[in-house]
Amino acid sequence: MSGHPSSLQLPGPDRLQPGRFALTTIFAGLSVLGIIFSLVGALVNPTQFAYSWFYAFYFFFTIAIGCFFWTMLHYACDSEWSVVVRRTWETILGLLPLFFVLFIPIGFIPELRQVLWQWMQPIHATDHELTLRSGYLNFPFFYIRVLVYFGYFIIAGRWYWKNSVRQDTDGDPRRTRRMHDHSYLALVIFGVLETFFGFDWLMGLYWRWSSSLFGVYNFAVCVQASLAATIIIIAILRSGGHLKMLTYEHFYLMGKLLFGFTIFWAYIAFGQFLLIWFANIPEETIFYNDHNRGLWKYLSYIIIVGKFMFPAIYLLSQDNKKSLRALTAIAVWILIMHGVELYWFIMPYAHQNSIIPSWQDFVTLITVGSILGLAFIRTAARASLFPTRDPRLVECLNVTN
Amino acid sequence: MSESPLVCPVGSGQMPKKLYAVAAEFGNPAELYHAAEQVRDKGYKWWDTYTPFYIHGLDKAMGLGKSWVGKFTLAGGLLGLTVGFLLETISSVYVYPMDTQGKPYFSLPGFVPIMDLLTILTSAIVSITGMTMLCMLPRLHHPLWDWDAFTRATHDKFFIVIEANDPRFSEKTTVDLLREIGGTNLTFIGDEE
Repeated sequence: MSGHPSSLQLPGPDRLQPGRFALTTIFAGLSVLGIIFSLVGALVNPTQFAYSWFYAFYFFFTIAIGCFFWTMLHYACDSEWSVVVRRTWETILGLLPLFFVLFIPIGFIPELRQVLWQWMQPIHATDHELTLRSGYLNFPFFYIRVLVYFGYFIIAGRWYWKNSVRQDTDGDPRRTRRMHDHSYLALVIFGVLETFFGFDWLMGLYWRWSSSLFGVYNFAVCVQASLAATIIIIAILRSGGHLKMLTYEHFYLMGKLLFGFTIFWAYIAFGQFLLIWFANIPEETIFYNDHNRGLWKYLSYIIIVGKFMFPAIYLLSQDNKKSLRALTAIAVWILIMHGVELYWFIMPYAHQNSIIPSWQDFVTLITVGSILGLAFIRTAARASLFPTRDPRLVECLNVTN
Repeated sequence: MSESPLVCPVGSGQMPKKLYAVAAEFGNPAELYHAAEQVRDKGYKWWDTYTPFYIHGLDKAMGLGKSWVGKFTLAGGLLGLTVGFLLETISSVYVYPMDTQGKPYFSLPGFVPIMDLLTILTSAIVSITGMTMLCMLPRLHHPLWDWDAFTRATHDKFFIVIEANDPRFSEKTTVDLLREIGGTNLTFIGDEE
């Protein structure tokens, strides 16, 4: 590429030591406490628990699936800038089996799953609309799809993680080649699976409603949230003295992408609303009716301003994208808004008329978050925090834009 | 009557009547990059580099500040947003109100696509206009075009040109600097009077 010489001195492996990382203890403690409280919640109020647990699960699952997309995009484009960041994504991909475990309570316990996905209730079995949709909404097919989603993401995710980690020891450039070759198909499969788990789990919360733009919407949610999460994880690792080789050039690149995907989310979320608003068909508009009742209406305005307008204006400035502190601040904000948006999406089905936050919402979010955080630290500690022998490491360290 | 030529190689003993700049040729991007850093460090302001392709980081090596184009884009975007909003509001609320599917005359969601597209269109037009103005384009002629060797700036050679109206310019030290940093084919370029 450009001719100016690159520093050929490569940094050595950068390993996380869980024992010396304060978050390890915090996460361990919180996950134990959280599991106890969640169990209490599940016994006291199973309906609320189902919604809260699903909310927490989906909040983190979107982030993990977004990381799958970023990894594939990195390989498909032969990106240089993202080499150092990539190990963070791959570590998260290594956590996907855990996501399956976290899905079990809501996915396989009949009392909880039928709270969330009401088409599963026997009472609706004779519903005319449901019988018309029963080709898709039936138990065997639902579980086949669940297995396909998790099966594919777990296998592909671990394959990428393993190959990348093994390259640290053998330095074989053919691994990069192989991962590149598989990434195109993986992107296509990702697109299909991401669309359908969005249909099944999120859109399926109200089975009479459907939106043709929902797959892209789910994608926009995943990608924006996962990039914000990546920036936060990197900021935390850096404050612990790791990944010091990242410069403002890398933050600037991530900031630009975060800006782009913030606009993209707004475009898609608004596009979905606009199509439904224009067509004005009761089967479709019912979604926005249900999500704008009572206090929920104000939450939708908060999302428009907080998830689109404010971050978009904030990220217009180059200085805000180039400084890690400013970028982390907006990434935290975007992740909070991601939580608000999912809350606005999921919870009106639990409390139709007004916002009634439950203690369980916070408990499940903290529980799932700290279990995953702990697993992240453990997985990350098994390898260097960046790919030490990636063929494009030098280009990544000297990236300019 | 012998006119002094417009292009005079350094050392030929001739000088253009009205000096525009002194130019030097470089063989590859790395040389140019480091040469640019040294010209920057000497404090020159009126100078430029010419390359056949984009060289990452060269703007920093040249000490260029932030581009002004972004300001034009923002201004254009805000203009387009306002124009789009007024265009829709005035026409569908005041001038020609029409009942469409029983929706209110003032239906902001329906206005958004036009506002969005006008924002993009206007900001693009204003950015390009602004960039052209900042580059002092269009122009009919440039003194460097009289120099035959310069045609390779679009092919395989790299150039640094330091203009004579730079406060630090001197026929001696500037030429010495360009030679010192590895420039070859040093040439005085003259401007027509």
